[in-house]
Amino acid sequence: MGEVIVVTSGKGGVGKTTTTANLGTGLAKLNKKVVLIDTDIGLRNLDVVMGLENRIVYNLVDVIEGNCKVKQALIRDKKYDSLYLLPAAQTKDKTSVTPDQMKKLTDELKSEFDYVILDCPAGIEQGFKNAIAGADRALVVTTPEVSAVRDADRIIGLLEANEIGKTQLIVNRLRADMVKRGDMMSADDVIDILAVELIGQVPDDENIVVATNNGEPLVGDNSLAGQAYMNICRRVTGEQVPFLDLEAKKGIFSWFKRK
Amino acid sequence: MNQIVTIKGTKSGIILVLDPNTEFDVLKKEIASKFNEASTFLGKNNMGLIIRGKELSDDEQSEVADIISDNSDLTITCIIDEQSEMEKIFKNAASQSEHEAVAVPESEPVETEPSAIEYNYDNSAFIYTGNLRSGQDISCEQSVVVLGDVKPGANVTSYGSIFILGELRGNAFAGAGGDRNAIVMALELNPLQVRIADAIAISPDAEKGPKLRFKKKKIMTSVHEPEVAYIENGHIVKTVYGTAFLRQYIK
Repeated sequence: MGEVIVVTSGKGGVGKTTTTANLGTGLAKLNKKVVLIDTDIGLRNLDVVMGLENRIVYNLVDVIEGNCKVKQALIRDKKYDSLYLLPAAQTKDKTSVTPDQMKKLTDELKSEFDYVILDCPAGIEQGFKNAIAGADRALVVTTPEVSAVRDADRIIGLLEANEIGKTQLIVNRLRADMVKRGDMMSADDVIDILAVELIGQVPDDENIVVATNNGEPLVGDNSLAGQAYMNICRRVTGEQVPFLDLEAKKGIFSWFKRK
Repeated sequence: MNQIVTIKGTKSGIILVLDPNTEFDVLKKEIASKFNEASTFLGKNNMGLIIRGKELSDDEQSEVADIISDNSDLTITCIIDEQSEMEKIFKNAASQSEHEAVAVPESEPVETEPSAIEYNYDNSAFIYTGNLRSGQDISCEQSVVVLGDVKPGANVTSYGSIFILGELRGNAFAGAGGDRNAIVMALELNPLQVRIADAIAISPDAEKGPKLRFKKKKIMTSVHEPEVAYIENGHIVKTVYGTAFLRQYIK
């Protein structure tokens, strides 16, 4: 029996979709059978970040409405045979799906996959309710900014109210130099405010932008962000992994040090 | 979402689906606002009108036609009575003797369009002016002409062929009813997906990122020719739209 994980944040633009794509790809690299579901109906992005946009024939709403079988709508990843994507519809809106229908779908997929990962839309309306309906675990993504942390706090409250088993935090876009200068909250500061378990901290990395534009998640490569995401994946599977030292500077000496 | 008035466009004109449980006066207002909203989209045309869902008297029908003419640039040339049409079809089938026209025009400008009733998508096209953006859809039975670009995430579906006088970067589905002779033409054909009848072709994955940008610049400097996708030996192929293609296609 697999696990259903929802990636959510409340605020938009903090990196939910990027995290979902990297998490899915990373878990597939660890030989897990993974399905990603884009629940952002009407503003789908996950297919673009995964580079699978051109393969979409059926989508989530088609599955829910019974126009096709679940198997027909699942798109297999370009690189990993054990990774699948169920894209959102672009021409409908969030009300085309109800939480009950989503729960039924995730329950069905759970029996076949090790991990079912849902990319939640921003906001706390219908789309959010759909995404969390069948979730066993939630990963809340936030950036070290007061606005994002405030929204994350609200989301954690809602997740607790909906009795989601486990809530863990990813602090995204950290800049070690700014933290050092005292211009940015550190992951620890964010944890102090939100009082939830930290599962990962991801540095602000230019490579993320390049990877997103190329449609190939960077998880597991040599970049700092790639390593951070890989560590998150391993922690998701239950492994104990120490947190990365984000202060590692670029340059040949520090590169040796990191190795 | 339950809408009391729904507008559908077909080859033969407009189908107006009315909620049977709503008062006619309420419906009238809704029809007026719907057509007002959609008037730019519907354009200036002579159209046939089919009313479904609620039975209306003759007076009420012509009132609806008036509302439509007042609130849009459409001219309703005839109101097609589906029920008597159906009865006729049944009678025809039963007796095999009658050879009568199918439509029963009612009231309004007397001139009727015979072509508005025939099912033949080759002879007419739906023309859309403007860019189609992500999430926007066109789907209709006749061929489609788009005066503008079709962007990624937008869909054009047609039983006939699709002509895009702009760049196709989204999805196009020609011959949706199974017509394998349908084609997809665009001034620039860079789609995510092209489907013709039961064949499907997707864009290549490799060309992305900086390389693509570089390539595009190169293309822009050269003279660009329209391209066309069609079915050859069961597969979709893309070629330059020119005399070579036309010679082969027209024969």
